Amino acid sequence: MSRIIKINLDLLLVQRKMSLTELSNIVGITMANLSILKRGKARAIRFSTLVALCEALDCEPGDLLQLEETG
Amino acid sequence: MSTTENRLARIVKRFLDIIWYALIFTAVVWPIAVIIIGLSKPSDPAERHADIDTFLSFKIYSDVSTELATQSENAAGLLIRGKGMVQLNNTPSLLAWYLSGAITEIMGFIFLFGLLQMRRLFASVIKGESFARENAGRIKTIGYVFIGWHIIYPLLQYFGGRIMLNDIGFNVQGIHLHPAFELNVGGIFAGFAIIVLSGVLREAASIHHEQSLTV
Repeated sequence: MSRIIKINLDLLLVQRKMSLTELSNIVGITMANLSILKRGKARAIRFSTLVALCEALDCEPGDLLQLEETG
Repeated sequence: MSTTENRLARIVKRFLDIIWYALIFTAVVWPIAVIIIGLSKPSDPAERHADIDTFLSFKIYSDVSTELATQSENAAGLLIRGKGMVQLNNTPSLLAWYLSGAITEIMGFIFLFGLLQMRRLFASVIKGESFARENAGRIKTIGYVFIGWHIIYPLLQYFGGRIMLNDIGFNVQGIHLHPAFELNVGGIFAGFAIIVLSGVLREAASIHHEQSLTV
């Protein structure tokens, strides 16, 4: 059994009633990169990206990142 | 990659493409040409003029019988010895002609395989995918082709030369011919160096992949 970091982007977007395109425009991250985050394909996230996402979604890093068990 | 480098890569790719298509054409036409020319050669060996370049070692003796010459180098009055491309001309049979054509064809295919990898590599670089994992594999294959070329060619030359000399005779009027074997260690070493460098690119491709998934 292993553990992965899950990005709760879908949940936060629903809660904030925001679309991915809107988020992309606010934080200045391409849709492709946001999609990588959303699908859980990202291998790493920069602090600057995390700060920008937290500011745009008005949340804490802990709300965005979640440790999840797999397999 | 800068615009200049990209332009250079395009020029090199175009050059490789020209060589590729020219060689493909040659590879198809070559065996046919060898057979047709072989069949049209005069049956009289004295009029054959086959002009077959073969890598052989040779010893040229002064006015002593060839039989003596083969017994001992010093006693037989050795004048010149060495290794080099020897042009076989009026061979008793056409075996040497066909064999030489076959060796060229085999080496041509090995070269074509290496060239194919080079073309794919440059096509990938032009597309801006220098750090693709496949490129590391291609460079590695080019390294193997390099090593293979520098081992297979001397072996084919040696055994080919042996068969040709069996056909035409080793000793002719004070000239003693041997099949020659010369391994290009530098070429083999360069092949190994290319394989090692492919490993460096694989690492770079892996870092690039990691980087592309960093948001």
